[in-house]
Amino acid sequence: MHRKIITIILVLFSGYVSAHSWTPTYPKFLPSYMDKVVETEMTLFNKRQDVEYYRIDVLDENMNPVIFASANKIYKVGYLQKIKILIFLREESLIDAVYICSKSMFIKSYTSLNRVSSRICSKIR
Amino acid sequence: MFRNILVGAVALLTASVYAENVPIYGTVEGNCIVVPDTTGVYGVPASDTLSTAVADGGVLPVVRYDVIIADYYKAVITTPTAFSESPPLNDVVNWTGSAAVHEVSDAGMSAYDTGKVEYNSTTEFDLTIAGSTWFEMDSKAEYGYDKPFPGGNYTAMVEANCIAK
Amino acid sequence: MANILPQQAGLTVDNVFYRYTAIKDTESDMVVYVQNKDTQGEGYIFRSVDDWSGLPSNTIVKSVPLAQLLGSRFGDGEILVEGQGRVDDPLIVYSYRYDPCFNPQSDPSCEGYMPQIPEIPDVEDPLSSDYVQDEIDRKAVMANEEEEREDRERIEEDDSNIDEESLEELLGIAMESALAASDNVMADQLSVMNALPPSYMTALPSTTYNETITLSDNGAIIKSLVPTNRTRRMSFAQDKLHNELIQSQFKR
Repeated sequence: MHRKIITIILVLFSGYVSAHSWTPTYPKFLPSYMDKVVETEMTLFNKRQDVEYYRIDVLDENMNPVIFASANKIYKVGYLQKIKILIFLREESLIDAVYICSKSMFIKSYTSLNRVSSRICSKIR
Repeated sequence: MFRNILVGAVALLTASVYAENVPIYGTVEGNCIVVPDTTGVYGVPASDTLSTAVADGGVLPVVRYDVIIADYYKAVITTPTAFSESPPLNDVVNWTGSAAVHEVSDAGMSAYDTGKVEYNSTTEFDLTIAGSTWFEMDSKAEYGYDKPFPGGNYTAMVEANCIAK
Repeated sequence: MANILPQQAGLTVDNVFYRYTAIKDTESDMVVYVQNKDTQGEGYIFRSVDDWSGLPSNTIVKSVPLAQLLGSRFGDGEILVEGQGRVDDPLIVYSYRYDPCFNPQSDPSCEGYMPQIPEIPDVEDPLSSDYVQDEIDRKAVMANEEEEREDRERIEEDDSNIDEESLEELLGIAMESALAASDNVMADQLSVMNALPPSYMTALPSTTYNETITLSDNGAIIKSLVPTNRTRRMSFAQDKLHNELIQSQFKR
């Protein structure tokens, strides 16, 4: 027979708690199976109930886009789902690429709900 | 009888092999988590103005940044510069906005406001302390020159970025 | 803390969450202590320090995990401010847990509950006292003597032939006299009305009527009724002798 444990926890956060995380903070590109192409693996964890889609970008130091390759540019990630994304880059682009970012995307709707778009950028070492 | 003893001995030996320690591995790596805490609402203090200020009948949007390792990230918050959804507008909309520290989990985070960098509609905070920091954003839109906003739904987007340093 | 944490055995505190707004000048020094005294010694069981020196005003929200500290050790708590400034809207929340069956005897539904056996106090048996026994014996003897005396008195009453007058007999006598009185009244009323004949009132003479008829037959009727038979007389005599012989065998 299990003993009953009474636990009282009071959480005083206003609004709902939802987040998304993008790791590692400092990814390293390693040679891939293709010649002159490097790759790295990023992990995206979605803890936002209001977001299902995330866009992946590779940017330079001025936040301008850098050409890269991955399975998709926009990924559908369900609530509490974690996915691993392989990002391929040409070795010559490695000099310009500074950030790898994931940004939440919203489906256009007619509701007047002001949202917060979150973008997390990891810095390439 | 000897056979039974042998079987029992083998069973005992087999049972002792299964008693192993199973390790659990984990690493603490730099991570930044952006959490929308409060959804903002535009108040209409005047027919040509939409504002999130509390005094104008609005609700300030609040975003929380959770940083695992200190000094790995900076928070870059951009307040709206355009409506993501609105009725057709045939005039210019003037946008103003700012971000500020609302609540902290460490007293030292109060200094973020002192060292913040503002440009255009963007505010940068250097997250030098591990923990949670709440930022509130203020956004205001004015339509043309003393021109009322047409009726309809208006939606704007705040962009909360967490960029590795 | 008695008014904040439930008074439960085995209660442990695993987290303290607090929130307040520090109001101060940016240049001034201010240190805020959120603490609870230790009931089992000097010092504090919980203490969190926030140094606001040189920092602008702001609201702090902090969650401090604890290593399952016993709730009974948490004494009086306070938010102590040192320096220039003040604290507004303070809020402190203690996260705790306890097992209602920490003491199994607290609830019959708990595992390991054992019904209490009441202690039977040592009571001196009064009947075991010699004095009490003697008194009981003395009273028993007195009771026997009293009973014997009553029996003797009862027997004496029976011997004195005291007629007990039963209630029924007394009522019968009373009723008889009452009936006789009512009969006399009724008879007087009937005689006044000449409803009864005079012979009803006259007493009847008491006369003896002797037998006047005699039979003269010179005893012929009697002789015919009693026939003489010598054989029968001899038989009767033999039967009589036989019976006496048999009876003599049983006499001792």
